[in-house]
Amino acid sequence: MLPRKNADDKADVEAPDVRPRPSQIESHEIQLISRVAEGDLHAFETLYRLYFPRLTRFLDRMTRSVYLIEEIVNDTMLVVWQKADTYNQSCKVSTWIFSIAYRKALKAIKRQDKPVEADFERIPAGSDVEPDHEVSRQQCQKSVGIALDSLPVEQRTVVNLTYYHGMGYQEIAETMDCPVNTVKTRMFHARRRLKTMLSSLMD
Amino acid sequence: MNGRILQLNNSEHRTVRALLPWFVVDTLTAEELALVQAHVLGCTQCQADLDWQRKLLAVEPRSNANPDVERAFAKLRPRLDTTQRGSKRRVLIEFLNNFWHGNPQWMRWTLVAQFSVILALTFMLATPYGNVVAYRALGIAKNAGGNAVVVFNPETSEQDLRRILQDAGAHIVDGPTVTDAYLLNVPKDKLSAAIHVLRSHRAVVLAESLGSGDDR
Repeated sequence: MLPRKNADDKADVEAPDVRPRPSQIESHEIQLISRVAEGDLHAFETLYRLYFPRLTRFLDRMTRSVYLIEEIVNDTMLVVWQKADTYNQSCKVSTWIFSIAYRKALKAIKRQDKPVEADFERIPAGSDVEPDHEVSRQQCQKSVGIALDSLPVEQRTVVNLTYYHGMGYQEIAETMDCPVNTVKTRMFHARRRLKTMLSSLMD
Repeated sequence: MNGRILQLNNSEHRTVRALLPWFVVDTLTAEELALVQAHVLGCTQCQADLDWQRKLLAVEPRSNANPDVERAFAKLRPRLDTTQRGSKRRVLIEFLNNFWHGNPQWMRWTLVAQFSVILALTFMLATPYGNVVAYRALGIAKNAGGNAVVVFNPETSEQDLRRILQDAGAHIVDGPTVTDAYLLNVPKDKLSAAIHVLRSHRAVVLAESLGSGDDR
């Protein structure tokens, strides 16, 4: 059977898909942005609450500081409030907002002047961990977190946006303002390093 | 032949391997999707890679941070009121619109007239003066009335200097310069004679006319 997205997790029973299609989500967000451009505070608050969890998840992997995360989210959304009228639909609303957040986060990290990369030596070595079937999910998540945090911020961002935000490589290139091939190269190196670091857990 | 097929397969394998992360999250184009699906069926390496990536996808690390949306929005809310919104162009248009519709007619036209006067004055100040040419050569001091230059021996007394000038019918209009030269004024019709008299004195090192050459 051909691999499909989350195909293994889905139940075989056909259930009515009540989720809005991507185009509907996108058009809803475009409507919100248009209203924000007209100064609609209620629309802005809706957009803020919609993006807060996504941006905090994204920024958490970049900065590792709760106060910095809130500050960057607010700086990002302030730009959205100020510049909503400049959004020209040449990219998705999410790509536009994430690209602002990415730039703000890079500036904040630079200001902090301390590395946010973790030390992958903290990952339990193969001989120290329990057998595969006994490794708890939490332990796995923790190890993956440490491994991700040890990647350079650009590689980590590509991995994060791909696997945990479901972004395509074109969107990631727009978000990070770099060529598509750079995105693919960063992903290639990131996967290779992650495989080495997580070999005891995931092989 | 076999080598060529192997090369094509390697190239396809590399392409597919690079696309696998986006195959897992279902963001490939229809063409890319077809390529990956066809390749993965017969490639155990890519199948293993896919399994590994699905495991990674399934264990998204939990966030240690727990940001509070209410607290964060409460912090942002006051900044929204004080922040200037829109692009510079839009802000300018809004300002002009508010100005035009928010003031009485007499005030609008008074301010427009005032602005026009300021603009005209600025233009006049920025424009160079008519046809007046303000060029002045450094060596020719016509305005000072000098038409000859003389250099005396440094040991010449003031009394001798006055006497020599009197003999030549010349008087000093400027100097001495850094080279101890004096600019003299001599009536034009006596310039040649004056130069001749000056040169006849031992105390004079140099005497020259500053004219066009006719007087020399």
